[in-house]
Amino acid sequence: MGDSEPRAGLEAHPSEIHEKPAAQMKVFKYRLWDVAQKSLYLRNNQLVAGYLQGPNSALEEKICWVPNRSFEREKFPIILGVQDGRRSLACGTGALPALQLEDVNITELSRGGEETTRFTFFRSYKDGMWRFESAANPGWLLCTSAQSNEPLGLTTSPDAAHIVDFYFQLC
Amino acid sequence: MKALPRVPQEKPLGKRMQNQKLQDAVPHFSLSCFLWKKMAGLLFVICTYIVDASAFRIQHVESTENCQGHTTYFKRYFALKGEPVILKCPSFKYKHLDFSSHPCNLTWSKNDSKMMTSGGDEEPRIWTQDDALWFLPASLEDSGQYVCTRRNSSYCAIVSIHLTVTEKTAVHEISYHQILFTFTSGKLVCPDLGDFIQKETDLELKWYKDSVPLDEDNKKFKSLKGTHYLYISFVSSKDSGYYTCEMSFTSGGTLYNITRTIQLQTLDQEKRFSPVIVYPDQKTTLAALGSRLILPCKVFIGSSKHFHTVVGWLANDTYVDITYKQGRVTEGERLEIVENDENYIEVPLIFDPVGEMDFYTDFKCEAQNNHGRQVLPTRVRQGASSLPWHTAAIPVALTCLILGGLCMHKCWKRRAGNGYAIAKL
Repeated sequence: MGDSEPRAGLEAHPSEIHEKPAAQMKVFKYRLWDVAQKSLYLRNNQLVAGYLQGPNSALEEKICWVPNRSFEREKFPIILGVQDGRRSLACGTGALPALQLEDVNITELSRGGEETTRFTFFRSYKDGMWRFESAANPGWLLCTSAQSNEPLGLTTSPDAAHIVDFYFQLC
Repeated sequence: MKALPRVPQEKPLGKRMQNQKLQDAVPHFSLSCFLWKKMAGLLFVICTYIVDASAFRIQHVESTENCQGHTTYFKRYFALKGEPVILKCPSFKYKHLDFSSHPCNLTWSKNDSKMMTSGGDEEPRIWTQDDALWFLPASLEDSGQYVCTRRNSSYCAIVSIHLTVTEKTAVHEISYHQILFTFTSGKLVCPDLGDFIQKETDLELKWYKDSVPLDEDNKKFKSLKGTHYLYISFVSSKDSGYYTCEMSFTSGGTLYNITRTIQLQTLDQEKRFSPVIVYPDQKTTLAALGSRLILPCKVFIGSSKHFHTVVGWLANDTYVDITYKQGRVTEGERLEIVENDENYIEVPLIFDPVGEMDFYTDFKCEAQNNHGRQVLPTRVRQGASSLPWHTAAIPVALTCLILGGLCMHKCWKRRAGNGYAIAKL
């Protein structure tokens, strides 16, 4: 069950601290797919990259993002989420950081603060492709496996088996 | 438990397997099975629990108990008539339980009827191999719901998988959607071949565009041996359409072709355009203390729709909703505007009302997109009017104009007089 998942540390700090929320926070809805044309979908509460045939393409998860306002704006810090931004992509820390989806809305996190670091990615653009570096794990990039139907992960060494270049396009 | 998106369950086709190698032999509810289940229920107080791993329901059972944990695999299988198909019983992990390594008894059934996939004719068309069900080749009547059951002494799980076998004429309906951007190079990928590839380096694909073979000498399209890719250089909108990749597969001395069809969509590469703040276009705005002031920040984002540009207001380098927790100063609704095929984003800063501290605050409008960032500082000054500066400036400008006109008129008269005087000298 989703309940068994660790909850975002954020929830201990309710959003009511701001009497008037930033209602205008624009949520951007994008398609994210890797340069090997793999789309993202959900399997066992994980984002997985694979090829969606025919009517299966309806399973594709659109990525919602908002800027994280407490980081250097030049690095383009963003928070990624799925299911209309209701679930956010979080990075673990440690020797081998892992990714997981947590039940916290991306707009809650966009206000920033130290506890939002693990939800934050610095996005960079080159030749029409994007890379996403974990703010909590410098040097670790969002990646897909060269194999299809494998979970989205993080890597420090992009190679033939770890794809780190993505297309990222407004829906 | 978060519900996964699921493809609506297809109605069972109700077709019995025509093939002789598949016998609809054992119905699921035999009397003995029913009685045994009841007895088991009475005799054992079983601590039965269901471990829910989202896509799979794994049930802890006594070896005699019927398996109740039944889920439908969220992806559907599609195949063309006459081509080889492999249905895989999904392997799953849950916490410490890794069913891929546990010795499990795996059985397959179709449309609620047990399948016998061994015995019978010498060369069966359908058989099981490890965790998979092979169709060599698939025929239209193979469409339907297949159920694989994994069971060992402690656990069981049932997964339903839908297979749809279609005629070759319906190939576009089961194509894979892929996207490339114009004026760039990119690759198409021949997907889902993995289970058929015996040696990756030997993989050789033939590629077709709209059924026409792509010439190996074609400089625009390149397919390298040992890869799943078709490289397309300098993509143009004319390259969109249906591509087919084809690999050969030999089994039992028979050669089969496996094809995948891809619909390529081309998108125009977005033009690089850094946002330009066009308003406010002056350093200060006059406002009366206690009045309501709306200060729009209008950003030009070029001719392509860079609506992903982030536009916001800062007060003393902090976001306004953080500075003004009571909401006296707020960001208004973001507007995305198209004027004469040019695109703008406007985000107003609303003072309700203007307070004294606003005259000593640095306000900045900030605009940022993939290609650049601009920050424009502005201030609010105490003035007689809270009207927007240009409205307030009109009477001032008119007054200046009139005064200027009068002055010029006087000067001209004086110069005319002087000129006469000089002429006299």
